[in-house]
Amino acid sequence: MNSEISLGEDFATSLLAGAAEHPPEEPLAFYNDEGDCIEFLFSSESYYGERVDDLLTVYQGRDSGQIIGALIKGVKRFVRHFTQTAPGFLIEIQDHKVRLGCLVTAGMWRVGDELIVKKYKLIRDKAEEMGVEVEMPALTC
Amino acid sequence: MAETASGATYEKTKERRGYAAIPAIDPHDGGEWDVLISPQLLQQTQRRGMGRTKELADTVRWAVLHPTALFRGIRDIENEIDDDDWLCYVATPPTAYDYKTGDVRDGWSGQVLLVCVNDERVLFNWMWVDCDPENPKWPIDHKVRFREKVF
Repeated sequence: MNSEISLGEDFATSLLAGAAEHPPEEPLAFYNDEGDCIEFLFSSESYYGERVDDLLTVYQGRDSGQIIGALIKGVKRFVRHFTQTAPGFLIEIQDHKVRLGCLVTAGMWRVGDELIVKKYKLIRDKAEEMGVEVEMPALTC
Repeated sequence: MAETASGATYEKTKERRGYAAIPAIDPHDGGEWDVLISPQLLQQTQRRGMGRTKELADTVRWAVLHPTALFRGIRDIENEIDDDDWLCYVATPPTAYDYKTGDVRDGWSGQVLLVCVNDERVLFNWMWVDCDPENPKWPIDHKVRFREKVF
C-alpha cells in the first residue's frame, strides 16, 4: 500500500474531491440501510470501536479519551423485537424518523450491568441534548 | 462464473447501478471478487471529512485485499439466520489516517481494522478495534463477535 493514494484512479479521485468540498460535520447521525445500523458521531476526532453488546458499539476518541460516538447495530431487528413487548414504542417513529435518544433508551432498558447502562446513558443524553433524529425509511408503521 | 464449496454458482464481478465496485479477497477460493460500496456510504464518508475519506480510498481498499483473517456471521443474542453470511475482513494495515487532519500516519498499534460486508457483498462499515492479546492479528472478543472463521 502506498502512503499516498493513487490519484490516477477514478474511484479515489472522485471520492477525495467530494470530501474536499466541505469540512467534517458535527454532530452526524445516519442510518445505513445496507448494514441496518445507525452511526452517531459528536466529534470529528479519530476514534476506535469498543463493542459494548450485541446492539451497541461505542467510539472512543483517540485525542480526548472520551466516548465520541456510537454504532447501533441490527436496528430493524431490535425494533421488531422490542415492539413485541412494548408496541407503544412505534409512536416514537413519526414521518419515517425516530429520535435517536428514544431508540438508545429502549436498548438501555434491556441492560442490567451498571457499567453498560452508563455507556448507553451517555449516548442517549448526547443524542437528546443535540436533538438528533434519524431518518429510517424501512421502519414505516 | 465461480462455484462455492456447496456447488452454488456466483459471479466474481458484481455491479449495481450507482455503486462503486472494489476488488476483495473471495472467501470461497482465496482469489478475488468484487464488493460494492453504496452511493449513500460514499456520501456519508465524505461528510465525515478528508481523513475518513482517505481511509476508505486507501486503507480499506488495501485491507480487503490483504486480510489477516476473514470471519463470517455477526453474533447476537437471538442468532438470527439472516445475519449468518455477513463477512468481516480483518487486517493490520501499515498506514492509517487522522480523521481530523486527514494526515497519513502509521497504522494504529495494538489494533486491527474490521471491514464489514453484508450478504449482498455490499461493504457497509469499517472501524479499528483492539486486537486479541493472544493473537494480535485478530480482533478482541472475536469468539463472541462472529459465528465462524473462514480463514
